[in-house]
Amino acid sequence: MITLKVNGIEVSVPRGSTILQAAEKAGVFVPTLCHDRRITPYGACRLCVVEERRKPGSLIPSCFTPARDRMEILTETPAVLEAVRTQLQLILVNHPLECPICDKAGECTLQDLVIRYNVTEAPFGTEAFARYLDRRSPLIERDMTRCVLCGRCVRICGELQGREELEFQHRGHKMVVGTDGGRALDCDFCGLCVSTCPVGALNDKLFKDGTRVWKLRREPSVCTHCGLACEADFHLEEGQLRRVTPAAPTGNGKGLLCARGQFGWRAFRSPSRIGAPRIRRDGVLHEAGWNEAIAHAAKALDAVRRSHGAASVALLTADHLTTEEAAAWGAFWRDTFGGGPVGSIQADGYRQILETLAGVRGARVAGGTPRDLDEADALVVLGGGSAELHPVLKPLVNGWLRRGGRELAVVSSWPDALTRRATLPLTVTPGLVEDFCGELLAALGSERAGAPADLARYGIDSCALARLVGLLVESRGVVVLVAPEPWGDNRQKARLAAYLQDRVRAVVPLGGQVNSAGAVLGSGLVSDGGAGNGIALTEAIEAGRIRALYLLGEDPLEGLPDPQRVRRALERLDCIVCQSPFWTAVTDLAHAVLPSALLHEKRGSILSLLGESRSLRPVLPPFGQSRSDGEILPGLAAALATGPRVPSAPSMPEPAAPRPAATPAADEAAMPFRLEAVPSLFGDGILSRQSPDLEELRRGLRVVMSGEDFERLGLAERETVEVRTPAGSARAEAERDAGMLKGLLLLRHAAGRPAGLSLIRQGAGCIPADIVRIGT
Amino acid sequence: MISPVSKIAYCASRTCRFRKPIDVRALLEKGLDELGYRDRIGLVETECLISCFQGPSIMLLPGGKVFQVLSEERFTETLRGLISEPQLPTLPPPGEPRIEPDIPGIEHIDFFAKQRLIVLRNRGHIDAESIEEYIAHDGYLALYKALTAMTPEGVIEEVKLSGLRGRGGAGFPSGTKWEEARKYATFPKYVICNGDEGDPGAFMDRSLMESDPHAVLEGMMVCGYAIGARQGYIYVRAEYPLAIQMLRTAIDRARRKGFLGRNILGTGFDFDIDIYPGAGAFVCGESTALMFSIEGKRGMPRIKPPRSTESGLWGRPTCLNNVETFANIPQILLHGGAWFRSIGMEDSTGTKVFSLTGAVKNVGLVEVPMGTDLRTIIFEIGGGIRGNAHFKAVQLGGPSGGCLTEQHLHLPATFDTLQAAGAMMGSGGVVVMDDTSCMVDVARFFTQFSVDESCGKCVPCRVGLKVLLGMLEKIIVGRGEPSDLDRLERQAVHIAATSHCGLGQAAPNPVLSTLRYFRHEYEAHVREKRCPALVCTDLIRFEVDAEACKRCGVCAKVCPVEAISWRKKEPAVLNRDKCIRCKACIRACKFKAIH
Repeated sequence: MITLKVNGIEVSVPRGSTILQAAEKAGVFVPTLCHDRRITPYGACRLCVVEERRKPGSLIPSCFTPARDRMEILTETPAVLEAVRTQLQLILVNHPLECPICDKAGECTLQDLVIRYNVTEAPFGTEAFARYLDRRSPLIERDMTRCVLCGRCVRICGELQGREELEFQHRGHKMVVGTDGGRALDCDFCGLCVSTCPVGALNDKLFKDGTRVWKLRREPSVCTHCGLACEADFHLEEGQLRRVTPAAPTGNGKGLLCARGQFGWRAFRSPSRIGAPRIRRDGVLHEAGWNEAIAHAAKALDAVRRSHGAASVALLTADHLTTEEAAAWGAFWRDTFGGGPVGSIQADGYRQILETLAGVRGARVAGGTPRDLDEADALVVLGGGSAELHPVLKPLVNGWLRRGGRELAVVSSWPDALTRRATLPLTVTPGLVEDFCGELLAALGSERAGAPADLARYGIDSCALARLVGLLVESRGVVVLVAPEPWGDNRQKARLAAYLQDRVRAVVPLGGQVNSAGAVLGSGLVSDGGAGNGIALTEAIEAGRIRALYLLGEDPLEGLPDPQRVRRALERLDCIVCQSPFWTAVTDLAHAVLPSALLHEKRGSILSLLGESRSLRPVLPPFGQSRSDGEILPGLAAALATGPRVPSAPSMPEPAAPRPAATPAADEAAMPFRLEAVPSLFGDGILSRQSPDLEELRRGLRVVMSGEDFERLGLAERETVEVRTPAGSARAEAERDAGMLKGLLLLRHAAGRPAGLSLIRQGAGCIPADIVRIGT
Repeated sequence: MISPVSKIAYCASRTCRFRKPIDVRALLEKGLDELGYRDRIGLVETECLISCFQGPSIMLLPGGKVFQVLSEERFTETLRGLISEPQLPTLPPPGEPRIEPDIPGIEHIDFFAKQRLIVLRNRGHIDAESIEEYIAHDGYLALYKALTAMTPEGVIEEVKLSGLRGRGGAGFPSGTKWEEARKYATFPKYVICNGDEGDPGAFMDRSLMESDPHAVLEGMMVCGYAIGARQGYIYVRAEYPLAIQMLRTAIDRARRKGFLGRNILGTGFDFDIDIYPGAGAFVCGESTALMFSIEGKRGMPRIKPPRSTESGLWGRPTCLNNVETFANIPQILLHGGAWFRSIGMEDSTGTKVFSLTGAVKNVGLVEVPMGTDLRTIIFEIGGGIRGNAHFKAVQLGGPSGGCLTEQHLHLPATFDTLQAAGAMMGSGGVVVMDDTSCMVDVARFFTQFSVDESCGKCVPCRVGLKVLLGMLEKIIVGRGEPSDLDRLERQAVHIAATSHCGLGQAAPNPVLSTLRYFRHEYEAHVREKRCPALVCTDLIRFEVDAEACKRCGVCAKVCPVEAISWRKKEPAVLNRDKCIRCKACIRACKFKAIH
C-alpha cells in the first residue's frame, strides 16, 4: 500500500493504482471522458490532468499514471482548470450541439462536464463536419457526427467482446470510428459499445427518439435470459419499460450484458403473453376464472393420479421460478405426486452435471464464484458453445486473459467463441467430445495419466493433450467450465466434472436457465426420473408410464428434437397443464392454461450459475390476470390435497442410454457432412425466443460451414439451402466461417423451430447431413 | 601496366544525376575498357561521396581523392592520366580545365576537414553490398570482441561509460535503456531498429542504411547479446526502397557468413534480424506506435507505463534504438567507451550526423562532434548562405523542432542547449533559411505537417493542432487580430502540455519558437497586414516602388499574364486587375522594387 494526498485528503491505495483511482477513493472528482473502468486506460481525452505540488506546471494525466508514495496531487489548480476548459472547448469544436434531439441529453458525460466547468463560449469556433450515420444496422444506430473519438467503443469491443467490429479509420482530424468497408454491423450485438459511449454517438434503436432520459426511473434488477443472471438496470417511464442497460460497473458489479439482456426485453410484453386462464372444454380452450381453471386442472390431474398412480404425472420446469417458489413447488410435488418424474428440457444438461456433482459430494455444492473465475490461473472449458450459452462469459474470459490469465484450454468439436481465444484449443472430432471426456477421466483416474487409447480417433495431437492433462493434474488454480451439449448426452462430462471437483479450484457447470442453480441447490425441484431427457420422456409417454404433464413454462414441442414424434406422444396424454407466461406450441394441446408471471413481476431470490444470490422485486406489474407461480400453488395444492393418497407406483427403470433412431445405413453413407446443432448466441430459452428483436438478429435457421465447403458448393452469401439429414430436411440460410473444419455443419437457432428440430436426434451428438441447393 | 588505383567509386545518387545527367558508370566502363584496365580496376557504386554540391563525382581508391566529372568529352584521356599517377594532385580535373592549379584533397576542404566521421566513416569507402569490404574495415570485430571477450553486463557498462544518448531525438541514455531491458527475465526479448525517418529534410538514417548497412546490423547484434534477445527487427519506411534492398542484401550476406543465425562465430549466441517496411505514417516513428505497427495493429502511441523495455513488442521486453545509435555501437566497443566520451561534450558525447539543407551552399550530411557550434556547421562546413541573401533562421529537429536566430549561432549543438533555446536535436535535420522565408509561413508549414500526421488519438493534438493551423492561416491571409498572438501562444502551450506522445508535445515548437524569436514578423502580419519576406501572397500589395525600380523591365518579361507594362527608361507599371499574384515578378526583381 502507498499513501498519498489528493487535494490534501490522505488516501492509501495498493501499489500500482492510478492517480485517478486514488482520487476516486479520496472522493475527489476528476473529469474523464475516455475512461471506463471495465477496460484499460487509454489517455485520449486528456481531461483527467492533475498537478503535483512539487512539480508545478507539469500536467499529469491521472487515468493511467501510477500513483507514487507521498505524492501530493492537486486537481483544481488554475493550470488544471484552464487545461480542462480548453480541452472541452476543443472537443466542442467538432461536436454538434444537437442536444434537444439527442437521446443522450441528460446523461451525457460531455454535457455534464461542459456545465460543470462552465464552458459557455466557443473561442475556437465550431466545425461539425458530417461524418456518416449508420441506420442500417439492427438495434444499434451510429451517428458518427456526434462522436468525440474517445475510443471506448473500439476498445470495449476489442478488449472485452473480442470482436474488433469497430475500429479507428483514417488519421488525425479525419479519424472516424467505423466498420471495415463501412458495412452495417454484423456482430454479437452485446450492446457494450452503446453502454460505454459517453455521448450520443451510439444509440439503442429500441430506445431512440422515444422519451427523454430524465423522465425515466431506474430500477436495479436482473437479466433473466440465462443462468448468469447478470445485474441490469431497468429504465421505466410511468410503469412502462423503456430500456435495459448493464448495471453500473461499481463495486463487484462487472457492468456487462449481452444482446439478450440489453435488447431482449420486448419479450416481457410480447403479443404471445397469456392474459387470462383458459380451460379446454369440448376440445376448445375457453377463458375461465382462476378458481375454475385451477379446479379444472386439479380435477384432471387427480383423475390421472387416481387411475395410474402419482408417478404417472411428470413435471417439467423451465427454471424461471424463484428459489422460494421452486422450494414450495418441490415440496408440493413430493407430497402430492411423490415419485412423479421432474425435469427441465432447456436446463437438462446443466442439471445432469450439477446433480452428479452434488450426488458425489453428498452435500450442497456451489460451483465457482466470479472470484474463482477472476483469480484462476488457468481455465479449462469442456464442451463447445460455452460463450454461446452464456454470452457474458466471453467478456469475462477476455478480461481475465488481458489481466494475465495463463492458459485457456477449450475442448470442443467446433470453433466456438472461446476456442477462438484459447491458448490451448483442442478440437475434437465432431460427435466425440463426450467419449473424449470419458477417456480423459479414465486416463486421469488411472496411474497411466496422460495416455488415452486412440488419439487419432479424436483428432487431438498428443502435445496438446499432454498440456491439458498437465493442467488438470498439477494445478490447483484451475477452474473447469463444463458446457453441456444442448440435445446430447452429457453423462461422461458430468462424471469427469465430479472427479475433478475436489482436485481443481472450482468446477462450474454451464447451460442452466436463469434459476436452475437455485431450483437444484435450494433442494427444490431436483430432476428425478429422467423427465428432462427427451427420448426417455417420449418413450415413457409412448409406453404409457407417463399419463399427464405439468409444464412450468416449459414446452417439449418447441424444445425437443423430432417434434412430430413428440406431438404424437403428447396427444396420447390424458392431461397437460400449461402454467406459462406465453402461448407456445404446446398450449394448443393443453387441458388447462394458467398464465404465470415473469420473474420481473415477482418478488423473491434467484441464484446465478456463479453462486451469486440476487434478490428480485417486482419491476413490472403482472400482465393481465397472470399470477406468479407461487400464488398459483396454494389453490392447486388445496384442490389436490383432498384426494386419497395413492401409494407411488414402483419407480421407473433407469432410462436407457439415448440411442439414435435406426435409419437406413445407405442413406447415411451418401451424406458427406456431419451436422451438429449448437446453442444460439441470441438465446434458445423460452424467454429469448419471444423477443422480436433477438429474432431479427437470429434471421431464422442458419447452417454454418467452412469456407472451402461453401465455395465448393458454389453458394452465394446468405443463400437459402436445403439441409437433409436421416432425420428430416429443412431450409436454412447458409453461412461460411473460415475457422470451421471441412465437412462439419453447424445448425444454429434450431430451438423453437420445428423445421430445425426435425433435423436432429436426441443424444446423437452429431448426425450425417447433406446440403442441397434449392432448384437443382 | 600497373596502376596505383585499385578501385574507383562513383556516386549513383539522384542528387548527382540531377546536377548533370552524365552516366558515370557507362563512362567509366568505356574508359577503363579502352585503357585496358577493365579487369584490374574495380568500380564501386556508392550512394554518396558526401560532396553533393560538386557532383557528379568519382573517388579514386586508395587515397580517396574526389574528382568532379564535368563533361563526357575527353574523359578517357583524363582518366588515363588520373589512374597512372594519382598521387599527384596537380592534374587537371576531368573535363574542362579548371582555373585553380591544385585540386585540393579532401582534407583541405572545409566541408570535409571540419567533420569527424565515426558513423559515416565507411560511407563511400566501401561497397555497401559487399560484406567482405565491411569486414576489411574492422567490420564485425566489435561483435567478435563482445561475444568472445566481454560479458553482456560488460557490454552495457561500456555503452554506459561512453555516455551515448539515443540519436532518435529524445536523447535517452542508451546504456540505461539496455540495462533496463536486460533486467526483465521475460523471454523472448526483441531488439528494434527504428528506421522510420520521417522528418522533412532529414536523411541521415537512409544514407546510413544504404551505405553501411552492416554497421547497423552489428550494433543490433551487440545489443541483442547485451540484453539477451535473439530476434531483431528493422522498421524502415517503405519510401526508402533502396535502404530496404541494401539491408536485405546485408542480412542475407551476414546470414551466409554466419554472423546471423544460430551459433554466431561459434559462441553459441543466436540472433536473427528481419525487416518490416512501414506504411508511411510519421507517428510510427514513435516507439510504441512503431511496435503496434509491427504487430499489425493501427500505429497509435500507447500509455506508459509499462515502458517498452518491460513490455514492448508483443508484450515482451524490447530495446528500441535509432539507426544512428546502433551504428555508433561497433566503434564504441572497438575503441572503448572512454574514447567515445572524449569526443563531444560532457553530457552529449560522440558525434552527431546533421543533414544540412536549405539555403546553404554545401548541402549534405555533416558529422561533427557534439557541441560543435551552429556557426561552424552552417558557415564553415555549409559554406554560408547561397546567393546574396542573408542568414535569417535555422530550423532544427524537423517538425518538432524550433527555429533559432543569428544570436543562437554560438550555441554548441548538444541535446540540452538546443532544448533550452526552444529547438531540439531531434533526428538532426538542419534547415537553414535566408531572408526570403516568412517565419509565419514556416510555422504554418510545419503545423500543417503535424496536422496531417497526427494519429488522432488525443484531443489536443487532433483538434488543438487543427485550431492552431486555423489561427496561423487566418494570420497569413491578413485577417489576424493583435489578440490572436496571445491566443496562439496559449493554445500552443496547451497542446505541448497536455498531448499524449512526443509528436503532439513537440508539434507546437515551430509556432512557439517563431513566436519567441520572430514576434515582430507576426506583429507585421497582424498589425500592418504586411509580410516582410514577401511570402504570404495575400499580404503583398503588388506595387512597383518607382524609386527602387531600376527600369530594367525583367518583371514585365517574366509576367505570365502581361499584367506589367514597361517602357524603356520608365518604371514598370503593374495592373492589379490582371495580376494573378504568382510572384514571378518579385522573384525576378533583383532590386526588391515590387512589394
